[in-house]
Amino acid sequence: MILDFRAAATPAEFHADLCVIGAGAAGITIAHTLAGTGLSVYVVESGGLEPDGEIQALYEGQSVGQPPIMDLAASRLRYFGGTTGHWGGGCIPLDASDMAVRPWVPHSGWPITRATLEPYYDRARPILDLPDHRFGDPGLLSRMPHRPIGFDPALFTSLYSMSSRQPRLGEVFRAQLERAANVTVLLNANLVEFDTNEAATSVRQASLRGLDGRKGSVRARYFVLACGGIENARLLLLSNSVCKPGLGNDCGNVGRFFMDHPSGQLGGVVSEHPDRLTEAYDRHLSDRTLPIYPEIVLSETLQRQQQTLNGRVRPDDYEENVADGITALRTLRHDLSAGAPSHLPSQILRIAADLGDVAPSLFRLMRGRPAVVGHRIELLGFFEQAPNPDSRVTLGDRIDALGQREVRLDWRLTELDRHTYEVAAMRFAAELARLGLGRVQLDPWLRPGGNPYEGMGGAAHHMGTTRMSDDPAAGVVDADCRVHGINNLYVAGSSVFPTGGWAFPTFTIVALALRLADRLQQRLT
Amino acid sequence: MRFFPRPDAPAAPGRRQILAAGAAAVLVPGRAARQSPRPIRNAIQALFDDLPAAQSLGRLYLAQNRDPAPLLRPAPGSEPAGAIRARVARCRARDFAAGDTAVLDGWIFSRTEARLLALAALS
Repeated sequence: MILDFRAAATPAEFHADLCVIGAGAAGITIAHTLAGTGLSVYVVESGGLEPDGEIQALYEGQSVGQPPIMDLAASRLRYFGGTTGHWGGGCIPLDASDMAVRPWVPHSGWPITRATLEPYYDRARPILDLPDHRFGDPGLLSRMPHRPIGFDPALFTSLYSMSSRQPRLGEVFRAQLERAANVTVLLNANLVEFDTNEAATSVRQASLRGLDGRKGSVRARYFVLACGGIENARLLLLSNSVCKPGLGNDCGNVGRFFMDHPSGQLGGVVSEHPDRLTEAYDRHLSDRTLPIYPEIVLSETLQRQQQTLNGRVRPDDYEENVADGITALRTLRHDLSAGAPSHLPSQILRIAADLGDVAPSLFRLMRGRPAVVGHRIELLGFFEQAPNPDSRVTLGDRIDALGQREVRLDWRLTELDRHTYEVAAMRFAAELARLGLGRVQLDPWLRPGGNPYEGMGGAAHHMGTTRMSDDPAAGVVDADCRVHGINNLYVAGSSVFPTGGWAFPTFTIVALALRLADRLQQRLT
Repeated sequence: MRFFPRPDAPAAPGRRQILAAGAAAVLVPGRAARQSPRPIRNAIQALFDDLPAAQSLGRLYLAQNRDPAPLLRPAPGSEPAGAIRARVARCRARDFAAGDTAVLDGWIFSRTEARLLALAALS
């Protein structure tokens, strides 16, 4: 069932076995898993079924870090389906080494292993509609339209990421949750605080408020906070009526260790074989029926020997001045594959008027080459971030439309991050030269004496602010994702990641949510 | 094709020149380069299409490494050209495989290449 909290006919008080705050990838996965069980599940979602500017503005905040992060309101989506509404769909599991203690990476190590997650990764595949191939399957190589470059495996490993064929989880699971007799999705209802007992060891209810001022609550046996890597921390900090530092924040860890996947341009590449260098890694050239993409990843050997974080690099064929006819052709192709062609006559006219550019492009595509000859090749990097207690989410001074303090984000990279970028760029440049595939010129920021993080931006993969740890002094949630010291409050999502590898986080978010759903079902039945 | 076609990059030696530069680096000890008789100096200078650009990069390397001479390995000068090329290729491959590189104006050179640019600057 789906209810709108703004509707007069909708009750204001609810009772449930389980209350999930947030209907993004994690919250929807939990609701989907528990649909059809005998448990009463309420999913509280701030937004509606479509994005809304006024609700989206509740995500605004202040970013003061180095480097500046992208717009806090634009990098997250606050409606049913959450940020999967603009997710690219990339999936790959974390490496076992990503989750292990690495002596050269301070604060590294999960309290669970990759083996623990393995069965949940398997169960996450159909939820995200991934191709029926195992990650790392060597047989995939023969299916690739272009064979990846054979780098020295001691330096760079070839891995494969996959793309969800249906990444908009709100659209995928709306009908199921609407039909489920035991699941109620409550739209346009904002959590303003978890109310606890006097000792702050148990949550009694989730206090709700609508933008129209309407108040309500959900009482439940268990609660799951699933609002994303920034908002999870904010909502715990805002739940401070009893526990002044905020819920789960006795040791001051809520909001700390904020991480993203720093990414940016490391340099330019000059090559006499630009197609050979880029074609295997060009998303546009992949088989659309088999969305599997080769990735060039820093090997575990290189990470250990050079004491770096994990990361990947990609030579990217940068297109400048793409002809109008080619742009129209791409739009038409995209619209047709989506089954919704728009402005068809004008697009055909644009293509026809630019046949001089379109024809050679089609010829190149037929030969398996990029449609547009790149004017230059950029070397891009996508990296793990070092866990850093000074990189943190706190409450700012500005107040939102609900009367709640907005978030203040201070994103901070470290010398280990900078060292990783340098090693990745230098070793990849040396490999390209050794193989005779090109030469690299580092961007000025990455040269000796350059501004250490000037070239890096975020990927809107917000992680780490309620990190998982066995030791309550070192984190916020335990290995089951239960908030330390609170017997019925759990956290779902990437905020529990102690480290984030370079892997796109949604696949792991869904796997962890499946594991949490199993745990909660066991406790509730 | 020029090896460094970026318009914002300084003019620099081409690939053939860099390969040849590697040959010189294993043939000519640094002291000899600095005190080189005219034939050797001419041979070094002849390696580059754009000698000023090569010397400019070489000066950058010298600024980072005060004396490249100890890094240069003297070798018999009587090897046949094919053997020299093979040795140069091995040196370059060894440098790149080991990550033994130098950054000059952002470009990443093998140590062998960088030393030869330094020799050009000294010659």
